[in-house]
Amino acid sequence: MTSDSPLGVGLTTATARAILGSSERGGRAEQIAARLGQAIRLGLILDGEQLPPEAQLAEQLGIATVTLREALATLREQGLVATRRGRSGGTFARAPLDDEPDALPRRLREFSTQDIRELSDHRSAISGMAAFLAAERALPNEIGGLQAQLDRLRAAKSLSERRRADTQFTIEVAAAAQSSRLTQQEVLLRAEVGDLLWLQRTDADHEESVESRSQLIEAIRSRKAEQARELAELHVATDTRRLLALRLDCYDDLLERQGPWP
Amino acid sequence: MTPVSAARAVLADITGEFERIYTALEPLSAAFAAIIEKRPRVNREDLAPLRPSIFAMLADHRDLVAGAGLITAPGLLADSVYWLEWWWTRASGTPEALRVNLDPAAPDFFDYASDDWYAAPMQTGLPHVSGPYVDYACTNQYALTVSVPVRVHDQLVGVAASDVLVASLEQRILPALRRLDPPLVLVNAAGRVVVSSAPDYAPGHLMTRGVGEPIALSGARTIGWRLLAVA
Repeated sequence: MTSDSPLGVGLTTATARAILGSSERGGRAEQIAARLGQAIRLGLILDGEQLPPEAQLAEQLGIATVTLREALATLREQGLVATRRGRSGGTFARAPLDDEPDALPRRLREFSTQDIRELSDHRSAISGMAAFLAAERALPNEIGGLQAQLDRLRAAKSLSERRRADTQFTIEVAAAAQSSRLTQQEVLLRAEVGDLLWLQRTDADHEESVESRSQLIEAIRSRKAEQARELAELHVATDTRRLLALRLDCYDDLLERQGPWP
Repeated sequence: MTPVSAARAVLADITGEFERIYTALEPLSAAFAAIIEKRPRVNREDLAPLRPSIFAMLADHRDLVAGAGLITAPGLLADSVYWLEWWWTRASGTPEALRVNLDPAAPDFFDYASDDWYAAPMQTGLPHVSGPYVDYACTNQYALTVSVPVRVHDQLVGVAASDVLVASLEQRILPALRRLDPPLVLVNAAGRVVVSSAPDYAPGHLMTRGVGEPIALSGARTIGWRLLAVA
């Protein structure tokens, strides 16, 4: 590229994004804040849990302490962490309450219906392929592990237990596919949007989900790869339909506030 | 050398690599056993003196070993039912302690007691190689685990183990496999491909029974691994 090119000297935006390996908006601190916030919403970091000292946490996340400090400031503003001074002081996670009336619409409004559709496409590609490959490659001990995880999911009572058990199940299917990349993608997807999948889930939704997972294990056990893929894709489609319905409801609230078109 | 004897020589080399890892695990295993034997009550901090040996193992075998440590039998320690003194090497080269959820009531409980790399040596009392598998609890790499049971008097108190990345093993094996014709596929006892010089079969693939001709069986240390010749 010459210096009088309209782009000037430098990498294209697409190249820079590929190097950074992220499609997320915002700087490093914002990304870290978003991911940490998600970990707290998902219950990966428990309500009231003390975060490690800043230097240690920054090292574990592979970021500069100053970046972490910036991210924690954002989370403090969002009310997802609280800092106490003094001898028993430190930074503590604060989970948003599941029944907080505004939490759901607020979080869901961050996503357009198109975002939800994009998310669905991505999850479907990853989970569908993971299920397909697991049916081709999983060994009996891995299938036994999936069954044990499903039993934990079935027995889980609270929302946070169900979230974690379901996340673990999804990760184990990708691991049974012998794919560390698909496993990593499932982990990242859950970290990014895992809480959305659990908005307003009823016990009936839970039972339906457990039944669908159970059928998936059967398909994997009997090495029916296409069927396993279809079941996993259907699982994602069911989530998506529910999410889109919830998201569309949010527009009704907006309509009430704004009034109808003139 | 005939192709069959050449293939056997490759398999003997692989066995040799695992022998070296088993040998490296011995001092670690002995140091762990000594701690358990000496004290009536052992807490997890009593295992901290083992760290220099673990770090040395990681450094000395860095080309093959990605993680190493000791895993205690459930109920062995006084202050933790489950415990792993496990370290892995970060890209920077520094060791990092593995952090997993060891609360049995937690949905993401790291239930190692039922994992093959722990359960097999504890049941048989013999060294074991498990995998390949996706090590999602730790580095999320495709790995094998080499584990040896640790004995104090007549009781098994846990295992000493190390992780070997499939990618690292491939570096060692493929140059030799590539020299042989027909292409060869190294599979574990369950038929899962570990390394292959045939483009139709990659690591993780499950070989259909009857595909390929078994031409060499591994020694006792890598139980049931086979080299298959494929057309």
